[in-house]
Amino acid sequence: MLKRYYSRRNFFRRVLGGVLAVGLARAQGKPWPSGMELRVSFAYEGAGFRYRAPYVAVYVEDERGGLVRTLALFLMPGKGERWWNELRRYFALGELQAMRTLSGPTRPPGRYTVAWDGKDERGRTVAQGGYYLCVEYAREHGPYELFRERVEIGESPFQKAYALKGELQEVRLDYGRKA
Amino acid sequence: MGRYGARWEGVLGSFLEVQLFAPPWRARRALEAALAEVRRLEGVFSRHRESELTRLVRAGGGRPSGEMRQVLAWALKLQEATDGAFHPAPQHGGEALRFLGEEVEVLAPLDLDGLAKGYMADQAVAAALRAGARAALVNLGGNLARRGPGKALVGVEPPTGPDNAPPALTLTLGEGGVATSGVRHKGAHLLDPRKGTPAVGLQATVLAPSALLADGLAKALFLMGQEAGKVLAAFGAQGFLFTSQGPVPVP
Repeated sequence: MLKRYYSRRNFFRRVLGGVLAVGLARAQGKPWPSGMELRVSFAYEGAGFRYRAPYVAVYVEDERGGLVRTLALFLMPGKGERWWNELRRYFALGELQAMRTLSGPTRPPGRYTVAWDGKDERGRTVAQGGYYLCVEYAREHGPYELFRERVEIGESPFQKAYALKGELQEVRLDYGRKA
Repeated sequence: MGRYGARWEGVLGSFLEVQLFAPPWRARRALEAALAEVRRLEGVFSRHRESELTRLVRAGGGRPSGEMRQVLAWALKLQEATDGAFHPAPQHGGEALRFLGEEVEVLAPLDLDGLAKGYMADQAVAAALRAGARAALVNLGGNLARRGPGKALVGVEPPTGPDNAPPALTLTLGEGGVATSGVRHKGAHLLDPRKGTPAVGLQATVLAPSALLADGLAKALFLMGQEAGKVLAAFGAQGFLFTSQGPVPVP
């Protein structure tokens, strides 16, 4: 058996390995603070002749724009799947099979609140950092609207309210301890 | 045999959801039969448009149809059993109706909202079964009725918290009904007929042998709290009263 000794190459490899390991660990970020949740409250209105409740998707994207978690999906499951692509951003990110499982019925105008507990679609806790919160809205004979806002998830709570001009009237983000 | 479902919005100011276990060639007819039955009964029990109920109230009585008579009889029975916590005219209180042989005398503006929806859900299930379904589950604005072999899992949402919260309670519904009264969707809207003020509480859910009973008893449980245990047991029902800590079984 060869005797182990330090060569220059050996030394650099070890240091590089260590740096890579530390870097990877740091890149994972701190985990989601336990007991915190992000509450997303959104309100929409609408009325008129032959009014149909809109398709709405509320979901979280990571900084690169990948889908992290679906919070609400107002579609009519089992009905009119060929129009689900009206929610074009979500439809491009998600999978049809998952949409069939996650979707619930469309809802009449009103205010709805959904909470994100910091888990991704597979139930793993995500890291702190920047995320995009999206509310996508599409209505037959009506407008298409997309609300997309960056939020910084950390240790400290925050509250933000966005007044919007369209049928989607308001989105409120409230990050804090679970009620 | 397959599983079929449909959902209609704007039925009775709420929604109607029907799930069936039926042969494929009967499914469509059975789904439509359930909807037609609800629409027909709306013409009997509605307070918001011309119906048999509004005619009875306007005339101060008369000869009710078999269905109206059945629901009114249940209303009286529940009113007696709950000592007036369930009331066919909650805004009015006191004696609301009296049976005189075949006829009924109406003494107060009747409000059968606390009972009629459950009854309609029961009848919609019966209509779906008559139209050829093996088993049917009807959800009429939160009042569930089910008949047929097998069972359904019913998730009950918590009275507060976000809309995507996991169910606070999961019930197994074989044959019968489940109804919930609470503050989640309409706020504190349940009037206590004994006091004339809105009742204080969070939510009450009842699993009963029929949706009509579940509907009526859910209101009674909400108003009476733990005292309703005996009444529920007498009707063969199981209730859950929600507190800030979570659901508490009654009795």
